[in-house]
Formats: sequence, C-alpha cells, structure tokens
Amino acid sequence: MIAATRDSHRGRELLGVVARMVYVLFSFGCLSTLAHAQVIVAAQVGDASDEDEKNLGGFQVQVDDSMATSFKDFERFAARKDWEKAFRAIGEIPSEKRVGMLKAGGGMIVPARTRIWQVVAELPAEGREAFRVFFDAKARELLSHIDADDAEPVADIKIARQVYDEYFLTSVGDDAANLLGDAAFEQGDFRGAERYWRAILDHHPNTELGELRIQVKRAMALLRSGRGRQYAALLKDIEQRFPGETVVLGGTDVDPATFLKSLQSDSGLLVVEQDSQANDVTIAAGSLPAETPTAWRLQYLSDKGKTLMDQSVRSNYWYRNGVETYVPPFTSLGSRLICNWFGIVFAIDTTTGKLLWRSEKFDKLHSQFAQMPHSQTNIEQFAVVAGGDTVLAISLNTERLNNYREPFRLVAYELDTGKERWKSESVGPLKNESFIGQPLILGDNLLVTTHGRNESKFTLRSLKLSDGSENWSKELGTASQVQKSRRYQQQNPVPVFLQTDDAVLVLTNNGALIALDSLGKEIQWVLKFKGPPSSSGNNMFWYGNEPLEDVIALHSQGAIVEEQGVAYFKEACSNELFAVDLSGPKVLWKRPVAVEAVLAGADEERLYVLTREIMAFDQETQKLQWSRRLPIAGGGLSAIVGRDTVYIFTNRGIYCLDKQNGTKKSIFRGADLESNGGWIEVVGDRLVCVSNMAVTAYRPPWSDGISTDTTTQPAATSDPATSSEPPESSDISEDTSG
Amino acid sequence: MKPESRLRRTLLLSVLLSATWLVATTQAEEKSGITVMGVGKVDAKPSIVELTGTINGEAELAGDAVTKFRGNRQSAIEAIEALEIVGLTIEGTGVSVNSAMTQQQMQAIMQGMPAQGDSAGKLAVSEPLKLTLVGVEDMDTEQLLETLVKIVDAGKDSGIVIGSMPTNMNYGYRRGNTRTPLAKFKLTNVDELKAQAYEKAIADARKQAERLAEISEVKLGPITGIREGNLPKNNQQQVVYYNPYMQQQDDSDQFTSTDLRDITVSITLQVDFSIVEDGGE
Repeated sequence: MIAATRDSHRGRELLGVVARMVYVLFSFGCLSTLAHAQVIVAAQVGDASDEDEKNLGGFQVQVDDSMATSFKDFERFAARKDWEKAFRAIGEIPSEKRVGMLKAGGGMIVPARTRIWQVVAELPAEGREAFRVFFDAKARELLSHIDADDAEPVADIKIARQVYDEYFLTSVGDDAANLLGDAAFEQGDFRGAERYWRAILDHHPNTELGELRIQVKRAMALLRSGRGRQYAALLKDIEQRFPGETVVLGGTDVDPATFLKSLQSDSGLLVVEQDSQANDVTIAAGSLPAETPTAWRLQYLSDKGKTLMDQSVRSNYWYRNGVETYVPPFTSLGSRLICNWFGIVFAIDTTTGKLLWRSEKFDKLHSQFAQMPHSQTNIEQFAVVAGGDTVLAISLNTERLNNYREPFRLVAYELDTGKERWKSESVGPLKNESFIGQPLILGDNLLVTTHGRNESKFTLRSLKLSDGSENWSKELGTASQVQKSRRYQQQNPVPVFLQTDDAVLVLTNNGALIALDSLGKEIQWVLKFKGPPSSSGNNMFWYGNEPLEDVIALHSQGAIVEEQGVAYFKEACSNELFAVDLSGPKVLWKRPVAVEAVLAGADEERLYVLTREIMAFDQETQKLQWSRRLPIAGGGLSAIVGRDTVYIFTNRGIYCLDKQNGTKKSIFRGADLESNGGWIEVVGDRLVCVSNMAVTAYRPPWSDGISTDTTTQPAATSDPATSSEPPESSDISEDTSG
Repeated sequence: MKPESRLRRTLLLSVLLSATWLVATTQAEEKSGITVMGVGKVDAKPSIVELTGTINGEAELAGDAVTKFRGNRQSAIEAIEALEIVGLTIEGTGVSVNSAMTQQQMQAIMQGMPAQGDSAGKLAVSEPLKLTLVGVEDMDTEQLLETLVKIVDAGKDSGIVIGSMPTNMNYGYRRGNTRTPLAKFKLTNVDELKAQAYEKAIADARKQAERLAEISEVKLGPITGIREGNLPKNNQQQVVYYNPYMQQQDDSDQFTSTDLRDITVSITLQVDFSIVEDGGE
C-alpha cells in the first residue's frame, strides 16, 4: 500500500510546481482584494477575549506563553494571507516543540500540537493550496524515507508522525495519517486509529486511499474500542452510501457490511453496554404504593450516636459545617452496596441486607462527634468506588478525623471480604499526598487526583489497582480554593470524573472542564469558564439560630452527565448550568440556576436539577419545563429518572413524580421519616435509600418482573422495625438499631 | 357710681351665682348615685380554623420564577382540594413580586452593612394563601385534630410554607423564636355572643349595686348611665412593646386563639344607678 502511494507522488510533484506558479500569478492579480480581506479576517482572529479569560478566576492550566507568541505571529500573517511569513512562523515551532498548551479562544485551552494542527487543517482553500505549494515537496521527500519492508518501523512511525503533525495538508498527509492509523490499530490503540482515519475523511475528502476503505477501517476501530453507538451509526451509513460496493481486505474482495457484521458477531460482546443491565434505572416505573415492602434496613448511626451528634451541633452552633445533614457517599457493584461514612467503609448485600463487612465499628465515630462541626476537615472529600474485586475509598483515619488538614488517603479493600489490600500511606510517592475526587477505575488501573498538604496544585495520577503503584502522573492545574463553611479556611474543590465513549472528562468544580484521552493521560482540551467567587467579599457574621446556608445544608456537589455526545454539567459553588457539545467542543448553552443546585439526572429530553425543589429543563431549549417544591432537608441530592417517573428521597418519604409535568403520583413514606432523606438508587431488584442515619432497601413493584440470581433470598419481613437481617457478629447488633 | 357700671357688676354677680348653683347641683347629683362595674363573659367553642401558607416561586430568571410559582400553586391547590374536606376553602390573598435576597445579603443587612454579591439577585413571586375550615364547633377534638393534620400534611407535601413567617427575621433569630403558630381558631357568631355578654354584664352590675344600696341603707333607683370599658385609672403609663409577630388586628382577631379551647367573649360595663330619696319622687 505504501509503495503504491509513493508511485503517485511523482505525478503530484509535477502538479505542485504548476500549482505554485499559478499561485504566484494569482497572488499578484488579487492584491487589491487581499487588502480589503485583511481587515475583516484580522478582526476575527484577534484574541480580544484574553483579558476576559484572565478574569474568569478558578482553575488555572499552565499555558506556554513563548509558543503562544510564535503562534500568534502565524495567525496574524495568516489573517493577512501573507502565507510565506505565516508558514515561516509556524516552521519555527517544529513537531517536537509542540508540547505545551495554547489558548484557542472562547475559554478553550488545547495542546499546542492539536491547536496548531487544527488551525492549519482548517485554513481557507487559498491557504490550503498555498500550504501544499510550500510544503508538498518536503513532505513527499520525508515520506519517501519510509520503506514498506523497513526493519525499523519505529523510525517510520516517527517520520509519519512528523508529516502528520507538520504537513498534514500536503498531498501525502493522508498517507501519513493512514500509516499512523494502521500502527495504532496494531498496537491496540483503537481510539487513536479511528482518530487518524477520521482526520483523513475530514480533511482529505478526495483521498486516493478510497473513502469506503477508510470508513471500513474506522468501523473496525470503533468496534474494537467498544463504541457501539458510533459503530452502529457508521455501519448503517456504509450500507446506505455504498450499496453493492466491495473493498479489498487482506487480499480478498469483501462486502464491507457483511464483513463488519461477521466481525461483530465473532467479537461477542465487543459492543460494550457498560454493565448497564445491572442497575438499569429505566426499569423503574410507576408510583410506589403505600404497601411497598421494606426489604431491609441497616442503621449505621445509632440512636445514641444521633443524640451525641445533635448535642455537638447544638454546642457548636456558631461554627456548623453541615455535618448533621451529611449523607455518606456510596457505590454499588452487582448486589453489593458500599458506603464510606466518615472513613468507616462498609458493604451490604442488597438482596439480603446482610452487613458483609466493615472497616471499623460504627460507634468508633461517637467520640469524634463533639469536634466535628468545627473541624477543618472537608467532609465532601470522602469518596468510595468499586470495580473488579476492589473497593477504593478516599478516607481519613477515624482517629485523625478532626486533625488540622489531615491528608485524605486512598485505601483499597477486597470487595468480598473487606480486607485492606493497600493504602496510599504505604506507597512511596503517595505518602504525603491528599486524595481528592472519586477515583475512576479504568481496567486494571485507576485515575485519581491528588494535592499536597496545604496546596492547591492538582496532580493527575494513574495507579495500578492491584498494589497502588504509580503508572504515571502529570500536573493538571492549580485550583482556586473556596470557603463554604463558616469561619473556616478555604478548601480545595472536589473534582468529578466522567468516562465517555472516547474520553475522560474532569469537572474541576472550579471553573474548568478538562477532556483527557480515553486512557486519561493526555489532555485533549480544557474549557475555562467563570470560577467560584472569591471568598474575600463574603460576610463573616452569623447569628446563633440562623438557618444553615443551603449550599452547606444540602452539601451541593458538582455533577456531569453525557447524553448523545453532549456533556451537561453544573459545578459546585457555581450558578451556571452548561451544555457542551463534546465533538466541537462547543458551548451549546448555559443558563443561571441556584448556586446550591445539583444536576441529579437526565433522560433523552430533560435535565433534572435539585435544590429544595426539583426542576426539569429541556435539553434543547434550556427552558424550565416544570418544577416542584420538595421537603428536602439535607445532603444526598439525587433522583432516579425512571421510565415514566422521577423518584426523590426526602425527609417526608419518596416522592414519585410524573416525568412529563412533575405532577405528584404518590408519596411513599417508607421507613426513614426520621432522617433528612438522601441518596436513592436502583440496585438490582432493590430500591435503595441512603440517609444520614441508615441504609434502607425496598422491594418496588417493578422488581416482580426481575429475575434475581439463585442466591436471592426473600426479605425477612416488611416491618422496618424487625426487618434487618441478624448481624454476623454481636458488635454489629450494638450499632445497628434498625 | 355710674348706672352702666352698676349694671355690669350686677350681671357678673348673677353669672357667678348661677355657676356656683350649677356646680353644687352637679356635685349633689354625683353623690346621689351608685356606679359599679359589671362584667359579662360568655365562653364558646371556635367555629372556624384559619391556616395561612405561602406559595413561592424563586429563581434567577423571572420566567423561571413564574413557572415555579404556577407549578407550586397548582400542586398546592390540587393537594388541598384532593383532601375533599367539607367546609375547607382556599383563598389567595394577592400575588407579590419581589427581589429575593441571598442569605449572605441578608446577613450583611443584619449587620448594618451593604448587601454584597450579585446585584441582579433572584426574583421571587409569592402569594399568601388563607385556608379556612368552617363548622369546627360541630367536631370533637380528635376529629378536628385529624382534619388539621391532614391539611398541614398535604400543605407540607405540596411545598406550601405553612404558618406566617415573621417579617423581621432578625428579630426571630435573635430571640431564638423558631416556632410559629400554624392554625388560628376563631369565632364567627361574635355579635350574638356579645349580646349575651352584655345582658350578663348588666345583671352583674345590678347585683353589685343592689348589694351596695342595701349596705348603705339607700334605695336603688333606675340606671342613669352606662359606659363600656374599665374605669380610667390615674397615673397609668401605657407601654407599647415592639413585636413584629403582632400583626395589625381587626375586630375578629380579638376573638381568636392559637390554641384549641373555648374562646371567651367578655364585656365590661360601667353602670350608674341613681339613689331614690326616702319618700321622694
């Protein structure tokens, strides 16, 4: 294939010389027209928003200023259509120097390599032609060093990479991209391979490599990388646009659709559904009748503990960090639910309600309650996630819960037994790091952010799930600290990860959304927007009986969801809800919402946002469709967006609202009326509610249609007072009063 | 002496004499009567219960605030009507549109400092609702409580802020007053009860006067005057304390209780009786 490509280069060389002559003549003939065009284009290219971007505050990503200067020269000359100077300027930034970050306007910051490549690839027709005239010969000369039978493919790849980065618009740019795509595919980097092949189709529409052939390769890459939706769409497109056409693959003429379908069936479950069946919330439908049985209830905060907590809050009314309305984070995996209650991690079998294991006794926290309301600890930093056979918790040693700025540690437990596998304190480079934000498990590795004690510079780390050893780390940026609770020093924002089909998104909760590649290693782009307000202007006076500010009482957290290639997010401490088209990326819209609002869910049409009311926004128009006031009293703002119903767990029961208009279908009082409400989730055939006191599971009506596994046991009784499964050991019974 | 000056002196003397006679006559009349205070009390069960609630829609965008207000109002009214309680009516008392302050802005104002932050603020659309339940006197306590609980529950479930909030939050916070009455029990047949109380007050006054006359060995004559209210007392300073919870009261508020108990209609009359001289008339 490469040899054939090189044959065609001779013809292209001749064409290039002719084109160059035509270009020179054309340039002289059009001088007067260019003079006029310069003004208009220069105004478009001018970066007038630089100053505005500086004032955005919040998360700061380091930008390469020296490279930005050279790049601005290019943009200036390109705007004037002074191509010779423009290309000379870009020539001063060779491929190997394009390693920093550059601003791309509109709050976007992208890697220099991407930014320069993108700007060149999107030159106007005249600029593209000029580019070819100037660089075609050099690119072809470079690519000619590649030999198909070369024993050193690494060197070939390096050359192809240089051609792709610096001379993609030349007549051999598509060949270089194709070569890189093949190499990436062979190395298992299917997403990278798809990107290279897509670039050919986007920027070399008349490629001699053949569109059908490239599309088939793209489809294979999509299939291999498990991006089922894109694969299905592309397969459909191939079937419609190339009916009856064949393509030569491995020396054989094949029908592309048949070939791809056979690949799909051979690969079994390569079209990954992300274990969506396990906790499929769309099975939730209809209202919960009053007789909905309680499957089990586990009270982790005993009555004695509650009394101590209340006393502590009353005694420390002057401070108050919202500890009394805090609902612990939880995660679920299969039929297990795992909570992290101020560092005590415990797992429950959601089918039986049996407490499988816990890291410590629940009442160990009682002695800490007295200090907790005025502790410096950022209680929003506790996190838990499970993957494979491991549970990861971001925790503090309960003994040091109220220590001044005690670093949060990452601890790995065995999912089945709760046995501690490793902890960050024992891993060399992580010893002094404080972990922040729920880790993201990617296969055998995990992605997590850390910062030094008393620092706000965030480092992104990839660790091995098995032992916590570090694969790599890189600086992500510097956060602007935020003061939320009363009379306390500022705290770092807690970032949130979201894995999409081809990227990992990091919502900083500090005025930036960062897109990483699928492995989370390389930054693809950063979208900067208004950061949290400076704390300097905040009032520092409170009255004793003053109600807690909503943002503290509701423990508002940032959240991000992705629907059909659009990321919707709302940061903590921000009053804006965003919709960003990830393919651009491009901000589709943003709208004001309350600072304490939390993006609780989404379906195909709407976004559901919670404060002390639930609001449904139209995804397309950003218009508020309906809202309903709810008796929400504490943290754990969440909603199950079911097939036709939205379920919210409040301190007056579970509200079942019609998705279309918010009309109340029913209020199921349940067994947690003494709590503040909190998280709600469908776990298998159970509807699980996690409050500030207990974890309760119900058997919803829709569970009758779900086939449970063979280990499923019927719930003991529907009476919450007696329904908790007997604990495994006597000490548990002391703590669980339910 | 000139005849004009003599005439003037005679006229002056006549006026003085007349005045002296008038004063002497008045004093003689006051001394001849008996004045007593009569009190008449009638206890009655309240006949209506009033609950107040507030529907609120608050948002950064005016359009959102209106959508929220409409949604909350509709759901609240539907929830109350769904109870199908006989004699329960809902009455809106007027929509108001206000600029809502953030909690931080409120705190700043409490401190006498200018409100900081986003000047655009939020917009609040709100409407106080009056929920009135009639026919309470025919219900027993259990039945009434059950009905009230249903209304309050439905109100809370549907997002109505039940109970009237003090207009001055600072006052409440500083005094630790976090309780506000949810329901007010009222009388409706006040005129009828007042008439009964008047009769009782007159009877009470006559009884007292007769007793005084008997002790004084005089004969009680007819009533010569009636005044409503207590006798004025000398040297009494009236101190009015500022209380933001105390709203402007109308006549019906006098016969209102925040507790479920009998309400007393009390009338105090000052009644003057004449004394009939022996052999007189």
